[in-house]
Formats: sequence, C-alpha cells, structure tokens
Amino acid sequence: KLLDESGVQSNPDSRSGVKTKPPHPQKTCGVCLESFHTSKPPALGCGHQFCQRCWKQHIEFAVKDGMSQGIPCMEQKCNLLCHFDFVRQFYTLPQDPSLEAAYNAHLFRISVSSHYQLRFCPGVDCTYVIYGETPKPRKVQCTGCKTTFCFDCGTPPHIPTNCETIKKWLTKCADDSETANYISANTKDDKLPSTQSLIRETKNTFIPDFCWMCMGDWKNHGNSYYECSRYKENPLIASTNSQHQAREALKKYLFYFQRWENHNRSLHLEAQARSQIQQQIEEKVNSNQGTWIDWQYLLRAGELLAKCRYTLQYTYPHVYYAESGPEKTLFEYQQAQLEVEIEGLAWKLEHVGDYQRGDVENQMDVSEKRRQTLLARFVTA
Amino acid sequence: MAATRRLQQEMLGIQGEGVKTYRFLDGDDKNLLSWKMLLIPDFVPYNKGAFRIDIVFPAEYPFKPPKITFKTKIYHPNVDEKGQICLPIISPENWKPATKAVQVLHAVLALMAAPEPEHPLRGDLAEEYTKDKNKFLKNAEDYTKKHAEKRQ
Repeated sequence: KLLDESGVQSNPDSRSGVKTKPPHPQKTCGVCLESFHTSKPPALGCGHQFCQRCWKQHIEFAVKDGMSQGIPCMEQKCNLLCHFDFVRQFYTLPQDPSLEAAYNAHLFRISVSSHYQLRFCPGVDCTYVIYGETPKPRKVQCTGCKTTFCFDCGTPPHIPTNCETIKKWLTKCADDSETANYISANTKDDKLPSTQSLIRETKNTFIPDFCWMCMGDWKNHGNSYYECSRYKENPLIASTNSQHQAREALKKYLFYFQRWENHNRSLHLEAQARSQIQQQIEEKVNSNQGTWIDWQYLLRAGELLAKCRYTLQYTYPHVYYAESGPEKTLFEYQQAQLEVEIEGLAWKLEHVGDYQRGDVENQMDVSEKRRQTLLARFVTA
Repeated sequence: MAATRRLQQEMLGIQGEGVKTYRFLDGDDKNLLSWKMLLIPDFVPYNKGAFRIDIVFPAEYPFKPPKITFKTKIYHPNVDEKGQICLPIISPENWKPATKAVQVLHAVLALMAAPEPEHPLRGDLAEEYTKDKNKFLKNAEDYTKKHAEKRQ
C-alpha cells in the first residue's frame, strides 16, 4: 500500500492476479473508447488496462513535455507511476531513438536530483554532477566551471546565514529593494547630501574623518568598540501605533539592506583594485624596488579582503532574522570586530606606500582570525 | 484522429443522457473540437439563470486537457472576469487521459455549487464568501438575474 501511495510499482504479477481477471478477448479502451483485442493488454500494477496505442501516445506526450514527476497511469485518480521496463516496451515498439534519449535523460535527471549525495552544478551550461560525502549546507566548488555554491540549496555560498534564511532574505530584497531605491531617490536625508557634497567639494581642504557606514563623525566612534553594524531597535516600539511600527520595520530592513549592498559594491570595486595592485607590483619590480616575490603579499591581502568582505556581507541577513538574545549580541560584537579589521585592511591596502609589509601581514592575520572566530559556530564538520 | 473519434462518442453520449443541468446550445455548428454548451444549475444562487460555456479541446486530446471558459458573466470566486475557471482536473499537471468531458462538466457544476475560497481567482468574492455567506448568496443571485441567460 505504501508503495502504491508513493507512486512506486508494486509487484505487478501478484496484484494483477487479484484485480484483473484474465481479460475478455474484446475490451473497450478507456481513453480512445475503441475496442481492442489482446490477451494481455498493457497495465501497471494497478490493473488499469488501456490499448497499446494510447499508452504509447500518453508516454510520448509526457516525455516530450519533460515530465517532472514521472509518468502516471492514465486512469483518473490513479497515482501509480510507470516504471522503466513498462515505458521501454513502448518506445522500442517502432524504434524511436529520440524518445528513448529524452526518457533516459529524464531518468538520469531524476536519479541525480533524488540522490542525497549528488547535486547538479548550478553553473551556466555546466553539466557536472557534484558528489558530497555529507549532504550539509557548505561551500563547494565545481571542478569544471569553478562556480562556488552551497551544496544544500545550490545558491552562492552564504555562511553564516542558513539556507532558509538566505532564501527569505533574497526574496525580500527582490521584492523590496526597488522600494529602497525609490526611497533613497525620492526622499530627503539630512546627513547624506551634506557629507557627499563635502567629499566632492573639499578635495584639498581639511575635512574631519567620517564613518562611511553611518556618515557620522569618526571621532565619536573610538577605536575599541565599533557599533555601526548593529541596528538599535527602539524599545518603546511595541506601544506605538501600527504606522510607526511599519516605518520602524522598514527602517530596520533598510539598515541591513544598505550594509549588505555596501559590501556587495565594495566587493566589485575591490575586484578592480586587485587588478591595479597587479600593475603596481609590475611597476615596482621594473623600477628595482624588491622582487616579484616580495610584493605577492599585496595580492594575497586583496584576496583575503574579498573573502572577509563576502563573509561579512552574508552576516547581515543572519542578524536581520536572528532573535535577540545573548547569542545575537555576541554575534553582533564579533561582526563589528570583523568589520573594523576589514576596514583597516582595506585602508592599508589603498595606502600601500604608508605601511610596512609587517603591518599589512599583521592586519591580514588578525582579519582572518576574526573571520574564523565569527564562523566557528556555523562551520559543520 | 483519436481526438475526433472519442469526441464524437462523448458528444453522442452527452446528448443521449438527457440530463437537465447541461446541454449543447441550439444552432451549434457541432465543431468537434469546440463545444458550446449551456449550464442550467438547479442550486442556489445560480438557479435563476443559465450560463454559456465554451469547451475547447486541443488536437492532442485526450492526452492534453480541454480548456473551459465562461461566456456568461458569473459571480463566483473561482471564475475571473474573463471567464477563466480554476479547475484542478483540467490543469496540465493533473489531467488524466481517461477523464471524460462529462466528468469535467460535473466538476464545473460541483465547483459552482461549492466555491473554493482557498484558491480564488477573485479575492474580493472569496473574502465575501468566507466572511458573510448570506451576503455573497444574495449578491450572486442578483448578479445571476441581471447577467445570466434565460433558462428556456
């Protein structure tokens, strides 16, 4: 019974003996409504008999449509699926190689996607199948097209956010980011224009250092505790009216979305910067400032920066959906620490001339350690 | 080929059935692949009128499902303003070749008798149906009197 419910063929002989009497030489096919003669009309384990020709057409149409769930029996309300041997007897009737190929491709697709250790590579036009020892969400890279993705859900790797959360977040971004764009485009923000104009106008005059995250004065930030990555919720919000609550919810989302987007943009900018580093190294080597090997640490720093930034970017969806509590507080603290180190690293990489190799290497080490600490809880063995 | 032979038989079957709640429209040119029919429901709130429907069969019938549209406006959560109806048994995923047109007709009538507000095509009517059924029945009846065909 279980086999029947799941659409899997049970032993056809034992069942057909129960349900179908040795067929009358003439029967009417329930599909074409014509009578047919055969001592043993084709039927699945359910015993629903139809004529050869109808079965063949049914299977042909199903295969051509790229059936997703397998080919069911033709009887209404019967969920039994055709098994391989049953299907094969029809496409070998008059030889039909294209049908056979399509059906085999389908079988292959089904057997891979239902196997818990196998995944299709999500890369464009990539036909590789990835084998994973344990089916857990983790970062894997296809050996064919070099695409990296999460083994469990097939999206780009998203540690420390889990598969479910990242799906929610990406959907939300797809729905809401236009709203975010609209708001930033059509509403006035008191701080932003002035700061931006400051950046533009005063290239040579002195401007106070400011934080690129919150646009506030850098002096207020101190250097021990960096708080711009944390969203401060209004504790009185529950008592206010629904309009305020909606506005607060939007504010919270925009806060995280902005940071997510910022890091995403920085990632792209720094990818360009990395190719500039390559040029700088060549120039330096050509002007006899050290050897090629001496400057490789800059490239490594660039790669590490990208890696850390990627991780940091994916921490924001996690925090957005995380419930408040000591775990979240700890996570936000570690996140802030990583953020500081990354910005430090980015700064040093941009002003290579002002820093010694030791400084940069040290910063790299610290950043990577912070990243490891942050992720330690989420890495599954 | 299979389509026309089967449809011919099905059509004859329906005509010979003598059921009161549906019939072929008079003066139909009897195009086998496109049936014009009249539904004459015997239940509230649609028993004050009759509804014209088109059933269009694809050339691949019975391996592909037919399509049904209401030609008469109807006040029903599962039929939209264009007359499209949300009926599981004729959806491509659920269609079975052994399903007969007459069963599809019965399914349409059953859906008319018992709307499914969980899968609405018109959210406003579904809401009215679940929240205030009497109001829905009243509105549907008025709408039927105003827009539906005569039940000759």
